[in-house]
Amino acid sequence: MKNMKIRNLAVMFLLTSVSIMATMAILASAYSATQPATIDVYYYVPGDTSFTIAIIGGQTSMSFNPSNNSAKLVEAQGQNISQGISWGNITNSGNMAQNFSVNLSQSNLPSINLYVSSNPSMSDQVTVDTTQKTPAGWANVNPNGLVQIYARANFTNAPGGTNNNSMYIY
Amino acid sequence: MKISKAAISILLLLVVGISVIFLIIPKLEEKEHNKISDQNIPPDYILIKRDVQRGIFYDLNNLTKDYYLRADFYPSYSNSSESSHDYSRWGIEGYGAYPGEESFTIQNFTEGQYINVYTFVKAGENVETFQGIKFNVEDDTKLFDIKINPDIVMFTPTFPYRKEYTVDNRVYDWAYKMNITITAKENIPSGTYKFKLDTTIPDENTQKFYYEDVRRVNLSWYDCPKNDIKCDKNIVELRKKVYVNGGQFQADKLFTIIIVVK
Repeated sequence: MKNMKIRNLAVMFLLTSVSIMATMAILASAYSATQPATIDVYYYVPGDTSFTIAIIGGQTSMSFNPSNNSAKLVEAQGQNISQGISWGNITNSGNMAQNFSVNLSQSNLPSINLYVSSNPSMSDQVTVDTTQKTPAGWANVNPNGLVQIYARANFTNAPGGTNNNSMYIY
Repeated sequence: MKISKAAISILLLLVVGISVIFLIIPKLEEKEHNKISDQNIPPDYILIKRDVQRGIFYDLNNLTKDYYLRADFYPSYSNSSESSHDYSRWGIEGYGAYPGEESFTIQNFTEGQYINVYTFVKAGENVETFQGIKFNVEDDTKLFDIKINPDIVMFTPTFPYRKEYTVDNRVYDWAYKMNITITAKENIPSGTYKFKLDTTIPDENTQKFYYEDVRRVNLSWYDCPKNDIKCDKNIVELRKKVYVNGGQFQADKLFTIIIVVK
């Protein structure tokens, strides 16, 4: 009888130990960010990736003023394609070549299409939407390099009033 | 007659004194604007700056504002020219990171282990606005947990001067030290993992918050330089205290992290 009790106690002790060990194993394997990894090699490229967007003086945003709600090839205000005056310039003030892109923060209305190009002929124009787009002329811009921003919009039965979302380019 | 001469002398002294005060005040003001940049220069600043630019100084975490809030700490500063500022254009947005790329080789990157990555993010040169920007790092592999601190910032202008602004104990600078912590969610298989820092505009509440703080900053502005016919003083006034959502124009190499696991 006494041996039975001892055996039962031993079994209980064993089960408890196994249970505790299992719990500890689970806890040990649980994801926690407490150990720094051992880094064998670390180096960095001292590249400066700065750039600046400068827009035409009198403007505070990219805005369009179409003559009617289905006007086409409407230039951004302040821009003048025929005189080669861009809406904005992108300057690569860093020390490495860079590609630049642009996107809208919110979807445009389906009745408005916005195009951006790096030159007044709009030859490399891209349709601006919520994904990042790069006109060809904005790629591989060297340090101190300057590329231009030309913008045009097509309207198709666009609703009246100001649509801030569509022109929310900066 | 003697009294008249004395009075004239005192009057002259007063005029000279007042003139000197008026000459000194603008300089004091300018010094205040560049307080962090021009004062508290650490004795080893030049050496640290040199070694960071050579890519051999690894203790970026321990660099204080006395280092990274000095404009000439960054290569972009020497690349730009404030003296030839084009007043017909308005610097509305622009930012960058320095260093622009960091690489790590790790043996056995196991679950729970992490690495801390540091870089400096800053406003571009000649930017006249306050820019709110949200930062993000995508992990397509889903193997890592990535935390960015700070992940939302408001950059202060770099033109006409750089200054730290405080609104209700909230401090805004033109440059920030950024910490990115990358933690392994499981044992990472051998391979090369690349992460890119992306930008978006801040959420709407943050935008409103920043906008209100910009309205409250104590900011002096600039006048058009004499003889600069491109500069319109009325337009310059409209450029004062402007908040913009930055991050819609991007540079593809803003900041890249490469982790090689062996």
